[in-house]
Amino acid sequence: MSALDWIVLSLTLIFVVSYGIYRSREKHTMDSFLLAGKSMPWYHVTLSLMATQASAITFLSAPGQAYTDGMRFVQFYFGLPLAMVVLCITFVPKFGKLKIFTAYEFLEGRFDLRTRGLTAFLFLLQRGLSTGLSIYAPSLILSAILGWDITWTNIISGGIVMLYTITGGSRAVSHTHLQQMGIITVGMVVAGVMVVKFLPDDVSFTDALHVAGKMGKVNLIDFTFDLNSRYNVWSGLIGGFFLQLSYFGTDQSQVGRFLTGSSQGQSKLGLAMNGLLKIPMQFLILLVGVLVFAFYQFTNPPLFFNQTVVDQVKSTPYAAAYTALEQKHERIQARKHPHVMALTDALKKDDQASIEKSRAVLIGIETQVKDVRKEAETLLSKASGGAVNDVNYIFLRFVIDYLPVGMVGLLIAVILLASMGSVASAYNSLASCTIVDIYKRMIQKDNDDHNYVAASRWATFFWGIFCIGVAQYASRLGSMIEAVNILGSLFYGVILGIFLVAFYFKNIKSRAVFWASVLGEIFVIISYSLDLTAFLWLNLIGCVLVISFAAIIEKIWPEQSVSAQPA
Amino acid sequence: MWYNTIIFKSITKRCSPLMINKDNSQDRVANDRDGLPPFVSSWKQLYAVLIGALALQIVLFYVFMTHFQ
Repeated sequence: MSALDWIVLSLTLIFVVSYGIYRSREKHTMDSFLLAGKSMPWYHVTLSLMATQASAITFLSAPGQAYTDGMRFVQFYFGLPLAMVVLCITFVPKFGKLKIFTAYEFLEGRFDLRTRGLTAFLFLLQRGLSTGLSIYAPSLILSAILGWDITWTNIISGGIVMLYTITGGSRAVSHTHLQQMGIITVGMVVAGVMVVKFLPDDVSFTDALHVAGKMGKVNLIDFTFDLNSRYNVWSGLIGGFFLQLSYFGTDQSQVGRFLTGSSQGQSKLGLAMNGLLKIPMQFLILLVGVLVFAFYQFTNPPLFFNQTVVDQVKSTPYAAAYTALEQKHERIQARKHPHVMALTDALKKDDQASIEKSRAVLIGIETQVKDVRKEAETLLSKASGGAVNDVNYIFLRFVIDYLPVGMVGLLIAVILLASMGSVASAYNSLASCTIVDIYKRMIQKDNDDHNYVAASRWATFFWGIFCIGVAQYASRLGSMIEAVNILGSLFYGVILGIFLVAFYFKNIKSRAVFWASVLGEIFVIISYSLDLTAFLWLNLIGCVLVISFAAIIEKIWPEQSVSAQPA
Repeated sequence: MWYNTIIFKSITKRCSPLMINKDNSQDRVANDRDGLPPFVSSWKQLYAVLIGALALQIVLFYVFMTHFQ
């Protein structure tokens, strides 16, 4: 990175962090530290929800995913608007009426302390682990750019967020989200424009999309109902609905964001706007990935996008084999260029016969490219002694190799800010849950606000250290955006099932729901380990299992309510 | 005049529950409308807009896909 890039990156980060701390300078109460004093307007709520969900993983992995797998990932979000409607109708009024700090408080009133504790534990486990992955993603960038050890980049990435989350609490998180989303939007739009600008002079934006489309990358919609297909309309609408409902309705990192709304109406509008904006935003991020793919049809891409791994392998006995693969890859790419140009010419002339001919040749060549990439991955895995994957590096490599001075700094800032947004919400929610559901409820019941605020700060510090620790072990996962969603799917369905029983099945009592959730979680983990279905369906399975088991247990082992007992 | 006072009191007495109810319902309407954007008249309409937008996006994505594929 050049000096100008460093200046842009540093100034952006300093501005956002200082602004967050400045806007949250006040003597904190528990209400202001954990819920920003319930004073936020709807647009703060919307941007906070979006910034929490869109981590660095979104901006690193999603374009890479579009490059390798096309745009079908967008279907994953189809259930989100439906989930927002259910949240507005059911969750917001219930939570608002009870004036709660965490979603799990509600469960004690409806069931008992045991169920509240179990759900809070599942949340802390899942959120603590996935936040580690969120920290790891931008650490990769810093590690690759600076050549620093990933341990240090993990500590720095996670540590900056701890700084303003500990000092300013939820209000600092909300205010920084606003700035973060603004900078992120500008950065991604500029990146998209730059990719188009780097295309050959006679290739337009639509030509690029046609080329990518003809090579199967604009695969946005798949109506096939297939339980084993990871992304199609039905898994997105049904599985995605349950995942998003449980994520936004029962994950404190999101519940804590919409509870900051100044009224129920502001919270509801914030959620509704999130439902309206999320899919177009994700579409645009994937579109950038597809444009990067189109760009690399006219320019030779690297064989493997993670240069750090390549550099390591080049100093091992596998270097010669890798160089041979690189040469083979170059030769295949060189064969591709005339056909890509022929395709764009045919598209301009609308010559269907030539389009089909070029398309068939290009798809054949692309298959050869994939085979060489697979060979390279195998070789690199063998050389580095573990699985390697470059999906998360594709967009990053493009940014570093092609964007002009200053822009690289801005794009790296975008990725870091995105990470900070989601990690900050996670720290705040982990602290809220630890203090409200465990410390205040089970350990120190009658302390003053000052004590609880201090304890919240310590809890934020503890979870910061824990998540940085997890980030250390996250290096050998494939696409991180999938890893995070898989992890969520293992727990969210069960947690959602507990909440749905609480809302809609008044006759089911605490004992039944507790054992149903334990059994449900075991079944979900078994289903995942036996690879019985694509991961999105685990949300539905977990949820349905908890409801069904709870109904059955209540039937065969009914719990007598206190009021029903004779005096 | 004494009969005006009696009539007024009687009307006030009879109407007060209604007036209180009316005030409450006005409050409730105001609360229901809090946060509602100006282009819709109820939350139900906003939810319909959300679902309609989702359907429209699926259709547009399909058209986009078939056009470029």
